[in-house]
Amino acid sequence: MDIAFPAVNLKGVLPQLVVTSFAVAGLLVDAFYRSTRMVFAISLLGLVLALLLFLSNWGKDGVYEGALLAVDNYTVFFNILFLLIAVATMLLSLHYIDLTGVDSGKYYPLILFATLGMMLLVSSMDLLLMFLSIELLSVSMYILVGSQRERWVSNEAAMKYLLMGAFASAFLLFGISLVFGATGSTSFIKIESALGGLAGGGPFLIHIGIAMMLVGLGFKIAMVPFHMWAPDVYDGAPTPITGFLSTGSKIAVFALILRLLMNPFSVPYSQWVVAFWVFAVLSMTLGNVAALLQRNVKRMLAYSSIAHAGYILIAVVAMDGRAMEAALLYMTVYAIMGLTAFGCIALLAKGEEERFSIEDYTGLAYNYPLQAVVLSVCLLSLAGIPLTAGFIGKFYLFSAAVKSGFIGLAVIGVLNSAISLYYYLGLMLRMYAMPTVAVEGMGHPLVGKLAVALLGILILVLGIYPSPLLGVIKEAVAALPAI
Amino acid sequence: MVTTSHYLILGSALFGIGVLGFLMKRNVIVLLMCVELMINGAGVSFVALCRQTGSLEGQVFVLFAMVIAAVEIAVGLSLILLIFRNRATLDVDKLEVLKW
Repeated sequence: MDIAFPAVNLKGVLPQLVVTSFAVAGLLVDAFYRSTRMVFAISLLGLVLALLLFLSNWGKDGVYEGALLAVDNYTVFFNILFLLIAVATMLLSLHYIDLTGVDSGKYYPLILFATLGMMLLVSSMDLLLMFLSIELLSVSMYILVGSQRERWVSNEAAMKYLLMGAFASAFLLFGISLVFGATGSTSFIKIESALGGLAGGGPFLIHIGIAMMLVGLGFKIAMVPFHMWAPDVYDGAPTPITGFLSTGSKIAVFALILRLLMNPFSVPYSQWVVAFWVFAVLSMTLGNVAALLQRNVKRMLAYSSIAHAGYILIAVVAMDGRAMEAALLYMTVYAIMGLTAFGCIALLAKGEEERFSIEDYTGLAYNYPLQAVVLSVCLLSLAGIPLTAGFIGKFYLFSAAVKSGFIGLAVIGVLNSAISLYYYLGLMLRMYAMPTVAVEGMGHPLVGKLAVALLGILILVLGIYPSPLLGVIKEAVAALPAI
Repeated sequence: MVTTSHYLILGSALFGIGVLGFLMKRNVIVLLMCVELMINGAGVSFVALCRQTGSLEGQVFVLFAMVIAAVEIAVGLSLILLIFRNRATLDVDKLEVLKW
């Protein structure tokens, strides 16, 4: 059998190569010099360089047919988003990990590797690259979650995450093998053409394959009923990593699901709409109701992030051009909100001790005015109050659902937003209540404060003036094949 | 005559045994072994379907899947070591500080 060596276009993958080499360089510097600051600088430099390279790629279309990965506006948009998420995570980690005993020499390069996994995941045009990048992302995340080696909860969270993640990956792998068997290829383009000619949504085998892939991917986005790991892992992980996990890795897998349903699985998808409808409703409702009952702030936000995955699933159900735009907008907005919320919590830590319990937040606003204001803006935005980015995101999402005829889904979404208002506002009011015990203030580093302040301002700016972002998103969605 | 279906049944059986074991066993190391069984069940079905469809992609996939399985086990074992050092237990039911 002849195996033709593919033409390599290094320019397309240059940003990914930059991230890889800077991550490796960071590990080497850590091995030889053990200088945390240097590792931080190298990792940050790698991310910024890749960001600049991607910005220069914007607008140049080109799907590499027959190749493993695509470079188009859709992937460039998400890649830029992931790099920004990674930069924000690093800035928020800077002080936190020094306080909490994390081996920081490996921490920053691992963030880069996880980012690389996300970047390759959205770009992949082949099930092989998809599987490998999901694993690169997951394995880096397992280690990051467990990076507070002396803290039992961090160990426990990492172990649970690894067990559930590996279990889910095995499902994904088996699903891929069945899809491969039904279509004879792992390339998205070839799968699509093999499925295109089939009537009735394709053979039975492909549906079992898709179901098993859905279990695997559903675990990664923590949609109900595959969400059990999420609250434990989000709770036990170092707080900046919780933010990274709940935004970056979730958005990466969502972006992949959207591409999968748009591209190779558009034919069989018609029979899956009902399933996604059920997942969306379950995720929204269970996430919000469980969040209501929490007394631990990190767990509350973990359940709320399950609910937000449910909101994004609304767009997956509707699945037309407008819904795609709404999904991209909501993911961007959610990334900002998630990072801000967990970033604020990281910056409210008092030395090694974090404030987990909701009672600890009483009257915090008097000692930490900046964090309290930013967290309040973020909570309002998560609840979807007008003039915040969260409102714009939800507005587009629900109106896309209504216009596609899923009115029931939009109504359930709105009702869920109303439920969520209760616990978001509850936490916010608590911060401004009179403190019952004296809260000791603690100085926090300027970098982290600046980062959350910037994110908070971004929430407000996007809430008032979203049109530039919407324009960019329109161009990103236009790069995908029309539905 | 051994056909592709037989291999698929073998692969599914391995996968199923892995799933059952994962849900029923309590020892962390046994859980990792069950995941390994699931991945290898997928591998068997990959190779069988590969022979049927006559494309090489599936076999390449199996090689990568084996590497991935090894990576997961390596990280898993180091976490097990950490947990054993802190609590001297391998029982998943003892991972109970974080709950609901």
